[in-house]
Amino acid sequence: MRLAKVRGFFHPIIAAFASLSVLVIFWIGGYFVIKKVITIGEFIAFNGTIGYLLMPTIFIGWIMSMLQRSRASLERIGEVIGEANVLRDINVDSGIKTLSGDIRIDNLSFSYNKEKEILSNFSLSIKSGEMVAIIGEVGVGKSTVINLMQRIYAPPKNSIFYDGNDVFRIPLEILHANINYVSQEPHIFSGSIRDNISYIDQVDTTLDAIIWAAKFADIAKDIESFPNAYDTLIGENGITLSGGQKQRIALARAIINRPKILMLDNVFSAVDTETEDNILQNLLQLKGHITTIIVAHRVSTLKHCDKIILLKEGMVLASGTHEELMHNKDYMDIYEKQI
Amino acid sequence: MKNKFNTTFIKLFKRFFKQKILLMILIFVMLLVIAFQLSPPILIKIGIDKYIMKGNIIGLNFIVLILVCIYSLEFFLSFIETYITQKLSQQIMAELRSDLFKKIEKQNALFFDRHKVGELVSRLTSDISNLEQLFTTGFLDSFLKTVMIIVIVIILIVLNFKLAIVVIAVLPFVLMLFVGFSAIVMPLYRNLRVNTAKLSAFMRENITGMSVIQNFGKENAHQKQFNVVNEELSFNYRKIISYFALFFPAIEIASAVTVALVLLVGGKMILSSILTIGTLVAFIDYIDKLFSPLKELSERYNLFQSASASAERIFDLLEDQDNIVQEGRELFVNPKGHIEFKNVTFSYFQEPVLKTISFSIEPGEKVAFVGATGSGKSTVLKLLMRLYDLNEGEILIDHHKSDEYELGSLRRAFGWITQDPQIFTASVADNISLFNDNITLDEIKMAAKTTKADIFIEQFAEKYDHLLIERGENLSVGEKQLIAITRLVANRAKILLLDEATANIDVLTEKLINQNLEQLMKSMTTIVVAHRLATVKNVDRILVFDKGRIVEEGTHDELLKQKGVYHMLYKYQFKK
Ligand SMILES: Nc1ncnc2c1ncn2[C@@H]1O[C@H](COP(=O)(O)OP(=O)(O)O)[C@@H](O)[C@H]1O
Ligand SMILES: Nc1ncnc2c1ncn2[C@@H]1O[C@H](COP(=O)(O)OP(=O)(O)O)[C@@H](O)[C@H]1O
Ligand SMILES: [Mg+2]
Ligand SMILES: [Mg+2]
Repeated sequence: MRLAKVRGFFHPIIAAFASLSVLVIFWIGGYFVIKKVITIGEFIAFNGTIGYLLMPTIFIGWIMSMLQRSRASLERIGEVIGEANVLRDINVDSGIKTLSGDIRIDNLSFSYNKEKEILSNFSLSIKSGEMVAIIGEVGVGKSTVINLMQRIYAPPKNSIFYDGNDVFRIPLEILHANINYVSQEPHIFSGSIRDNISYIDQVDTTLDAIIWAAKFADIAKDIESFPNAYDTLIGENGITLSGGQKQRIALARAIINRPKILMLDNVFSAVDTETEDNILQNLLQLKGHITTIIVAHRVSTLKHCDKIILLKEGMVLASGTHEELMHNKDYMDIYEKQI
Repeated sequence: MKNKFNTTFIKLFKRFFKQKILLMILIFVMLLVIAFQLSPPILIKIGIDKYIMKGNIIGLNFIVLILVCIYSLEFFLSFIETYITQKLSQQIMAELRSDLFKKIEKQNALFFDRHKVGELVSRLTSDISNLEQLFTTGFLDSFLKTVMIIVIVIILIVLNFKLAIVVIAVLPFVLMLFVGFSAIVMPLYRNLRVNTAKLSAFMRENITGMSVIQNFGKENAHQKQFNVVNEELSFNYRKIISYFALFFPAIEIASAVTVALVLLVGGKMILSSILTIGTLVAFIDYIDKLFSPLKELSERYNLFQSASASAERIFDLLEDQDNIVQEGRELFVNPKGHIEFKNVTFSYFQEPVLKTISFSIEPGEKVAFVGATGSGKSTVLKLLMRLYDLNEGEILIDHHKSDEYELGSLRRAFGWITQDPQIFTASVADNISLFNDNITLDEIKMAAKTTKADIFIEQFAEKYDHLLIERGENLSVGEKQLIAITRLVANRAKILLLDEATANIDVLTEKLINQNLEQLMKSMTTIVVAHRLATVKNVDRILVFDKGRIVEEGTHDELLKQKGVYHMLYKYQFKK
């Protein structure tokens, strides 16, 4: 089809060349026949074969211009394939088979671009099984910390450690198998609710496990009220769900295999406080087994955490439990505004 | 199917024929081109028979001169032809694209619930460019080629009837070959189209969901799915190409056989002096001109196929009346901001999501909606924005049925923010003014100051000229919400609908925004949907939603005293 297009474009030029050749052969050939240099038979033979001689030369020109055009496409493709920011394992310790949930961040500094530094010398340590909240103003870098911990963006070397191993020493597969993450604007695939919740292993996950996860995320009642329950189809990116339903399906998807580490980026933002409390109660049941990092704005979430990190200007401004922080002026500011 | 196919083409032709004058000029030019293309063999025949064979050099030169003129004119006319064709098709396509876009803008949200974004984008781009090809290489060129084939056959008959019979005898076989080939290849092309659509839908969904895929380590599983789709596509391609690899040489052979037959029969005729050498040469030229269009027409099949499917999809959309939002003629001017719902019932599918809801809001009042997720709060706002039509009941805006207003003027009075606001690929300033030139930079800056968005905007090196990208990946989600709120302030909406608009904004910033907005909000009717009760506490009135009904109503203090649903939500937030 593309050939037809190109040929169409080249048609006038090719035709002009062909015409020219016919003309020249006819004129000179005719002249030679009249002067008896060649016979009429030779003249006709020439007339017939000149096309075979000329066409290939014309096509070479055409091929050259095709090549030129393809090179541009090839370069663009090459840019993607040769992209430097590829996620890959270099020099990993293949002996690491699992993570315990113990996390340490050491003097982490990071910026997306030269304009401003998002994190500067940020340090934090989380023991296995703890529940930690990160709070702070819009744009301080809460989501950034969570992204870096999963290598969604690459942190500097020797700044993030799991069980004492630099994050770059851990095979990506192991890192991703042990950390489940619900982002601020979770993506839901089109398909059934069942397929979305059992996303991690769509083949072997039992319905019981799916229902357990749905109950955990307090979405089971909603799902059962849908016409086809777990087989209800949801549109592209969960368009037929309310905001809070989407967040909770994403949460169910992340909890289903009880990962060692769970990262929740403001996942209760569209959820009412009663539902939030139900989910928090469920999460508390798993305390000690799952390391949970929660970005939140509501005090109702923070109260249950083992540790609250208050981020400001790229650093930890204060940290401690809710009770401990009640003596901190900055934290109290936030707390009081909510009452 | 066949019928639909025809009506689609008729509709296309109608648009095509609207440009009568250009079209007539074009057809005239095309016929001239055909005439010029087909005359050289006859001239050459005359040259050979009358002059070369008779030794007349002056005559030969004369013929050559005529040929030069004809070739130059043909060359020139072909360019004119291409130019007019392009102009014509570009005009029609631009018109079609704009009709299509207008239509999409008028669709209600049910439409967007049903159609994938990738699908719609491909209608506006690749479907349209398919049609464009249909016009240029499809209709016009095929028309030209068909006329040419017919004219050649006539010329041959006139030149020498007996010899023409030889050529015409071969044609049925060639036509059979052509038809047979089409019958095989057409369904393959249909599959190809399905495969391509599948592949692009797959790509789109997987690229937007890439972070989830990576986080759950499902790269391999998705790669496998991709390979299946990809392999299907490539298999189909290979199949089609292999048929072409058979068909083209077959045509070549047919052409060679015809030439041989003509030489055989014609040679004998020359020997018995019934035929001149010039006529034989002309015949051979014409045979070549007869067969190469057949090859080209065979490549058109694909084009007709995919273009007719594209045309069908485009016209389906253009004529789809189901999802058009009802609208009246009345312009919504000088809005006061009074809102009333009267027994409104609404369902997306069968199950009602809102059940006979009634409430009214005074101009300048500030009302909060609270309630469990999925209880229908966002749905009320979407109905106010007239994204869907009601099943029962009515909505009155300034004591007038809202579906009697002209849609655009009504929506402009509203400022609606959802939880994940849209960011356009444009500067910060344009994202705030929404490309409204009447809003000055100073006004934009003032607005940003009110919403505290100026704090992070000032940190960009280019400040208000800083380029944001679609979906706003270079902003934090809270920052996107700040931009959206600033947008409303700058555009002076009369009725604010804030659907969890501050859910990703920390409490301190939110407090500051509220303080700044307070003055502004006095003249605006405001509905806030929020879960943080601190956000809700200071409004004039709170409506509590539960499973599609309004179950409680009152101020914060009144509702706490009632010890009902609101009290419970409040308790959860502050319980130790
Ligand atoms: N992909 C990116 N490219 C450039 N800048 C970014 C990107 N993502 C976030 N930022 C900027 O980094 C800062 C921190 O963002 P983020 O961590 O998302 O904030 P939050 O604390 O609200 O989650 C913000 O100022 C934001 O504009
Ligand atoms: N576009 C849609 N198509 C089908 N169902 C929808 C759509 N949007 C929302 N719903 C359903 O309607 C109900 C109410 O949703 P919504 O008004 O968004 O709730 P919320 O009170 O959380 O804002 C939910 O059960 C939701 O699943
Ligand atoms: Mg964030
Ligand atoms: Mg909602």
